[in-house]
Amino acid sequence: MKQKFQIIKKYLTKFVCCLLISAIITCTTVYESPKILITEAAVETLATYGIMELIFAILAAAGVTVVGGVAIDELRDTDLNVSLDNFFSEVGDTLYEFNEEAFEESYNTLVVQSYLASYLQMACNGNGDSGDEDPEEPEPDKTKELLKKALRFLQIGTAGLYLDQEFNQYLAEINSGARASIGSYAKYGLTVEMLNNELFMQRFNKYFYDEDNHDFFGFYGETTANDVKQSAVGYILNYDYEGGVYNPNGYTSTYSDIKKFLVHYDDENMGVIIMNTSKLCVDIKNSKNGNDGSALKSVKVDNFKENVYYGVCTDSHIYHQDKITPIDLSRYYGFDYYITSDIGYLENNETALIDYCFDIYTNVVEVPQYVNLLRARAIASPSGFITNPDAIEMPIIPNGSVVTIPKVAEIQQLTDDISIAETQPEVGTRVQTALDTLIQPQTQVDPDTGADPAPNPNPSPEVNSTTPPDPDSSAAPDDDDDVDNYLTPGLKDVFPFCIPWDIYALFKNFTSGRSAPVIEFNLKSNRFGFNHTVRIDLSVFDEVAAICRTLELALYMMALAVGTRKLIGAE
Amino acid sequence: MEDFLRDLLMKFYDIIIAALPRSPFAAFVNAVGSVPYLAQLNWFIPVSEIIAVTEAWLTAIVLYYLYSALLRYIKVIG
Repeated sequence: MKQKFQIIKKYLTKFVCCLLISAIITCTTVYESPKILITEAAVETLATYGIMELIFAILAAAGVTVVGGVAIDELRDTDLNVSLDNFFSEVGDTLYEFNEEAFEESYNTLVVQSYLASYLQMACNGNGDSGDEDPEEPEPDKTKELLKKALRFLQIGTAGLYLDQEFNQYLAEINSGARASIGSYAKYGLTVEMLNNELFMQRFNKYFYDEDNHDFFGFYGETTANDVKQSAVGYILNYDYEGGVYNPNGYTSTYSDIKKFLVHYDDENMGVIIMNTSKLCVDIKNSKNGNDGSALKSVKVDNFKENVYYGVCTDSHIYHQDKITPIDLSRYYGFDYYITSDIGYLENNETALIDYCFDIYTNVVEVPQYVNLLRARAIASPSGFITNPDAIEMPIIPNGSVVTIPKVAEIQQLTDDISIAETQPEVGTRVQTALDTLIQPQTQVDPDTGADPAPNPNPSPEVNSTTPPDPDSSAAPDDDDDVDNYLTPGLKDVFPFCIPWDIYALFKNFTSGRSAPVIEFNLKSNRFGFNHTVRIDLSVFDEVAAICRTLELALYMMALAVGTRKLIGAE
Repeated sequence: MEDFLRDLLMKFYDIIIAALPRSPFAAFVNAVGSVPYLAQLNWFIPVSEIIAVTEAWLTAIVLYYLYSALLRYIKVIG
């Protein structure tokens, strides 16, 4: 009897252990989002749909919280060969306050042929088909008014405004990636902090230097390839250029300054940095191209893995001069995963993302479905808004305000209300109230912005109701990194439930990056006047190393197989 | 009503979470990632692949024991 009891006890112990192990595996597996390489078809699908639709998608994203400015990039006028950068350097940077005069002045000097303008024009004509049938130029005043209205509107509803002019195929591809990056916010309902260039650099400088020292430039402000190389590539990414020659082993950015910055910035070792790599790519490839790239943004995500950095890039090519170099971006930028829709296809159809890729859409089919749904219902839909632009007075949002984008159901209600707001004053009031509640001016304004701390007109409603309070937030009330409040500790952060995630993270940390050792030592002889640095670069053995790793893995698997026999009692 | 219950549950959840201590390992776990020459180590040893294989192996073992226990319980095997 006792022997039987011991056998039962033995198996019960094994069973419980297995259950624990399976729980750990399940937790780690479920927590890790699926990695599916997005296909070329997906990119094309995304490119088919315009930016407005994806802005709608952002609107629909549940609980997206926007702080700060709006980034606008790659808006150009090709026919006149006039960059619209000035247009948005005046209008875009002050978008939240919407400088009417600057808008008027800039608009009058340019022929705006952006996608948005044409889209609005189509909407003005009643439907999309009429726009195609009637190729006449839109009435300037009408387009301008629509554009102005849209810009003002989008202040409250977008996590990023990309007005794109497809002035050549190359940038068109990048733009499609930019759209997709925005779409990823909607897909995963990310909490986004938007920083315009200035704000980002202010914070970046604040971290690395004194507040007043703005000598450092990141991805912004460079105008030549050399500047990009020295400051952006060389400094931030620790990218090693030697005499302008790309050195594939020079990057040591696994824990680059950007990552350190994010660690500091997030204070929770979690974050996403979104880069439109177009500036880097374009500038390195073509120094005279003044493309300003896109905003560098940090994104807070709740449903992504902790302790893992996600890079979001809109172009996975790394260009160097005239050569397209296939490179593993996860190593290049030091991020563990990438969100991208724009997998760079090289000339030999290789993808530039070798190791890691994080899909933004798990199913290509769902993209048009999603967009079509939102097109019909979204608040910014021309049917609901543009036809009656004066029905609602769009609020002006102070820079740095927190804007919570309504959920799909709320958008549906809002669009219904908007459609009848003109005839029913009480509905108009309701819409106005609903819009007002979306905006929460910051109580603690970043002193760097210089923005006045606007009083909160709606103190009572808790917009971020889905965001539980951070118990640590009271400890650092003067911290201007207000996004920390959004980072909510969950079960995975508290003891003892954190143990499976900690174990997983422990091993996961070992997996970041892979590069061949480079050994340098100096040979010096005063007697013979000899001074030479010997550099032993093992990257020439990359293929051999790959074979060795495979063999090591095979050995490990064999060891597991042998161990399994003992474990299951087959011996 | 659903919202109320959801909010109630969320608040209860928040209270519990706030009462529990934060992970004592997190800082040390993160420090592991900053160990120098980790990338070079990975060049020699396929750590990520080993982790993946181990996960798959553990899953298989767990399934084996689950099935084994089940079959023993219904006395299909001795």
